[in-house]
Amino acid sequence: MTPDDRDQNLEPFLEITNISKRYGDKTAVDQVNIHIHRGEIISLLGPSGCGKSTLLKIIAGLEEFDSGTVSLTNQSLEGVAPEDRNFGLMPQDLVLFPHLNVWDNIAFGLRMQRQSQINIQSRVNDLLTLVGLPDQGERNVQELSGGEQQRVALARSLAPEPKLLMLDEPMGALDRRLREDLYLHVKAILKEVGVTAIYVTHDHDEAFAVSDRAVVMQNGKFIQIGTPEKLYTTPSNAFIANFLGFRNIFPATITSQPHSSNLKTPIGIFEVAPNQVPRAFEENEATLLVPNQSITIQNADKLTTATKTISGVIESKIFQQGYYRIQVKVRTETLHLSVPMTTDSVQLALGNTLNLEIDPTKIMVLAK
Amino acid sequence: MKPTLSGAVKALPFAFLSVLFAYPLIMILVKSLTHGGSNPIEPFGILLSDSFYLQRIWFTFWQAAVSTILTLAVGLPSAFVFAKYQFPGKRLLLSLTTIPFVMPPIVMALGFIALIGPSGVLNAFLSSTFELERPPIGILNTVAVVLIAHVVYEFTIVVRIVSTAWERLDYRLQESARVLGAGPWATFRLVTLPLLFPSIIAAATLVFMFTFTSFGVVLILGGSQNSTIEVTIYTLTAQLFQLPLAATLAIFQTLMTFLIMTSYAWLQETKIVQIGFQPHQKEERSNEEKRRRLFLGSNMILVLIILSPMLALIAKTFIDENGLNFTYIMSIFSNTQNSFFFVSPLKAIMNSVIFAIATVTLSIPLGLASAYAIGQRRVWWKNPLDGLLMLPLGVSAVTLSFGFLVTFNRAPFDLRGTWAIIVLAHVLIAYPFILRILLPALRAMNPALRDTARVLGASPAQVFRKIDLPILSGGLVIGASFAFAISLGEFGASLLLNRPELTTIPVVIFRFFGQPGQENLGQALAMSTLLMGMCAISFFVIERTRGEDRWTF
Repeated sequence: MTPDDRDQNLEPFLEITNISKRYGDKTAVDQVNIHIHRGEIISLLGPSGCGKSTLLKIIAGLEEFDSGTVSLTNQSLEGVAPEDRNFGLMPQDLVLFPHLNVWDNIAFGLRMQRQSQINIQSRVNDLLTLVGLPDQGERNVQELSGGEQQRVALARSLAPEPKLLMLDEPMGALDRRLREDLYLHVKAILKEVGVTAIYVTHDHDEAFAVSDRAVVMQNGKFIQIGTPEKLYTTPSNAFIANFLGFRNIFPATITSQPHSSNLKTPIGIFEVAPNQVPRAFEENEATLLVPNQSITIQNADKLTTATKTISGVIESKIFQQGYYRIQVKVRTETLHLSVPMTTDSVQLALGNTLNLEIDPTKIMVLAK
Repeated sequence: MKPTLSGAVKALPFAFLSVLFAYPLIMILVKSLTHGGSNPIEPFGILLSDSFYLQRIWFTFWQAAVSTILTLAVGLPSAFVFAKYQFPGKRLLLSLTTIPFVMPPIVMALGFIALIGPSGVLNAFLSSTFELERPPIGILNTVAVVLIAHVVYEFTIVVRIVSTAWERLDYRLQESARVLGAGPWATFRLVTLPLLFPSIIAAATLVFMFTFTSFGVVLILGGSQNSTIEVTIYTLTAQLFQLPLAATLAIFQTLMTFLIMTSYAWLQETKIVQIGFQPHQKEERSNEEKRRRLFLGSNMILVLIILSPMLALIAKTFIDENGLNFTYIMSIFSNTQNSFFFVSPLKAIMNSVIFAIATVTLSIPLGLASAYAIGQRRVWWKNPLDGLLMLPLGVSAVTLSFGFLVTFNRAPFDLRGTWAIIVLAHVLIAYPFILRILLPALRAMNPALRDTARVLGASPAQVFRKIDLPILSGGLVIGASFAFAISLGEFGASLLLNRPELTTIPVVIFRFFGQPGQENLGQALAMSTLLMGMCAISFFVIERTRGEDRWTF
């Protein structure tokens, strides 16, 4: 893991120290550490089964854990029941209480706090307005659309003014387009309210759009923490790169030369500057990541011998959002690239051979 | 978190069952062993080498198998109609089919006598129409009438379980099959039937178990030749006082039902997983109005046939050769009888209602705690555990009462002749139904509801009160009505544990029925009609509560 979460000079709010949790012989959460600042939105990103939801339940107090501490503003939460923590939870599948209407769902937490009827009244009204459902309190939750349910679930979790809001794949049940609209809406509301939040998802676009910092989790471990920009530009290993949607990831063997390093990969040998290779894995097995912007298509007639090119045969081509997404077979591997639709279509015919130039200064070398 | 409290709640049903169920059964086992000397297997050896008992065991199996097949044959078409069509009075019709299920066998017997007895409604009608000298239908006291009575009893089980599953079947699967080139029949055979199979098997298992332990119907209607294990236990206990032998038979029967119940629990779980809550069409898009009418009409006739013994009984109560006659029903409310067994009918009604209320009060928390004890676990022994908790349903009322009699017969726990012993027997018979009704709903409940409520500030007790109870409330009302009706109609335990001052409606009917004379028969009919009315009211409550068709066992 990369413990670079102290680079923001903010006061620590929620501190998670060395939390571990085992189920039988399976480790669900493994030595996890993070400091979350007040007002910060952290996303927990990882494939299903990586331990995200378990960690959330541990923070909520719904799950016992084996070792470590969870503390809020320097107070350990050990022994504090979930109902006494004043947190909020937006569960997976957005389950609303089916026997209560919209109003009573939102008022649930306020009633648990024994707030006065007048307070409840105005608070629920405020929240309905905040999430864009004014005057819809009397509706039955069964008749709400997916998006509306999501808004009500958000309002319900925000109503008691939680110190920390946990969102467990809150968009899981919704279709893609609706998700994009909604997570922007959710982010706007979270920032407006100023609540500290942990947002669990397996969708990197969603995580990057919503959060200030993202944590990538694999097999119960935090393997990288950072801002979306940092994660995207320097994913620390092949798993993260793959998870963030990079397609051109190849195993590589590094051989150090006096002024450069040689990368031996299935698509060819690349020479990179020493500063491109992180110190930790010189002379070692590593991963080559070829970002799309490092690849250019060479016209056969303009071929110069100065640039390093590799050639491959076009295997498939699809048109997507103004770009052609092309798969090129290079030796035994497949290289994915996306080119503007203005590219000469004859050149992009299936079965054509393409000469590709790969800019060695733009490729990335990651841990295995 | 308070694991101790929830642990205690979940342990409650097991504690209850250990004392009131396992202990009596062990006492029966002990009784059985004294019969065989030192070798524990020996009593069973004796049993299984005696052709008299072998013949009865064989009869028990085959009549149960045939009854099950017949009930499926009659019930499945009706389940189809109930699942696929909406029509006015659908719920009422469905709830009417449940009435026979909770009727004591003596009422069923009276119904059959009223229908096809020598002067029964059907025989009288046929005789006068075709000018016959003798009543044409003479199947009373034969196996045939036992099988028919079982179909009448268990019809509702097949219809309810299978139609619920059928209704929830994702119609898009059938549409896909049609588009893939399967005709209606092939679609049914290759898609619908395999998907319904678990629920059909589940229904069949229940029917088999109920008919396997059939008591009153066989005792009263079956004639002296035909006797199930259950009837044999009763005869050995109550008439021949051969307790050890009765004990061995009871143990044998209990083992069988435990196997049946465990497989039922397993099947019910697979059913839940496979079918789930799918979107379903409200109704078969019927451009064929003719076919719809044909189906609805046939189904209506079928249900009427199922109800015909009950209808004949009501008719006989109020109508005689001279037309309308209210003397029978009036006689319930006047104390004209004074024979040695005499209990005023009003007193019996009082007893029945009080026992039923006590049964509901005790079996609701017990059923609820049992549902929690097995509802949220995911372990291999969950199904045997479920089978164990359901065992009282399979261990017949007679065995149960027999166990009570050999167990709670010494101070300070001499419960013989107290109201408590009857109520406890009824609780053991009724709570498995509550468990069965609540369990699917509890399993379908998203645990995130509770997590969310906790995080929103609700303590475990508040979560139970504000989330679980309201969500389960429909099931609880239905379970309560069911338990109420079951207690009202319970016959075997009430008969075996009876004392004059504890007499219930079914026992009074049995007594009246056993006495000669038109007057007594009339009173028996009148009490039966009254009982039916009370059960009908309680099922009316059920159907009003069935907001969605989520509640079924």
